[in-house]
Amino acid sequence: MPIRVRLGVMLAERNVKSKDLAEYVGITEANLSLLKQGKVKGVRFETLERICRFLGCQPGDLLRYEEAPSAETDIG
Amino acid sequence: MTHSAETFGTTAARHRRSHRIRRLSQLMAAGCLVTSGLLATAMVLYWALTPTPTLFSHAGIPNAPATEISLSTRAFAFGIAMVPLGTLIWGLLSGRRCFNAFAAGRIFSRDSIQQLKAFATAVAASALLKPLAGAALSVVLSLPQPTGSKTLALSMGSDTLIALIFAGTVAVIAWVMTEALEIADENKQFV
Repeated sequence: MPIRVRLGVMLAERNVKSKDLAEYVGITEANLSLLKQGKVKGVRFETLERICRFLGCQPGDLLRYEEAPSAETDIG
Repeated sequence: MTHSAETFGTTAARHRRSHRIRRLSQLMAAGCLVTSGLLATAMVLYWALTPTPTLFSHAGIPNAPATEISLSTRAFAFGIAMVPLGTLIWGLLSGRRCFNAFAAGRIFSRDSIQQLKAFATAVAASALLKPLAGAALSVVLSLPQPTGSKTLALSMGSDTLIALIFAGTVAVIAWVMTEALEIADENKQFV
């Protein structure tokens, strides 16, 4: 998926433990781990709001759109 | 109303609804079990105790014999009558399992949906089997009668149609619940 979650980077930059963030947001550490790996279908605005408040960042700091390499090749 | 107050209100309403579902499901599960027992008992008593003229009248046979029908004929007729009733009882027991799952909080589960589908199928099958069993009963009961008095009575009432509409409604609800289950599964992947 071209949407990459930068939560791991944000946590490392701020030296914040996943456990503390999970506790503040009100989700399990397992779910936070899945979110860090981008293995979720979506993020609720409520969750996003609490993450941003805890980390003092914007939603855009947590997500990046990266163009997937095209499978098509130019011919001629 | 603030966002948190709104969320609390929604959660409280959901809690109340969930509590109502559990309570009513417990009652419905008990109702299904009691009804199954009562139906089976009533059928046994009906074929064991009802006088022959009444049996013939109920079966749509105009001329009842002067003597009582034999015990083996009663047992055979009971077996035929139990085909649609047994199907209905099987459906009620499936319904009971479904309601027990609801009462335990397993609303969107494959198991409860499967039981609900089984309930709908059994109600429809029972409704369709009932006229056929009635016809078979009229033949079995009138078979020892002299030629000219043998009867084939086929009756189909509005109760059959209503039962089919009810079964169809439950089946559609079960399919809608399958859709809801998929949405619930997807929702679980949201954090």
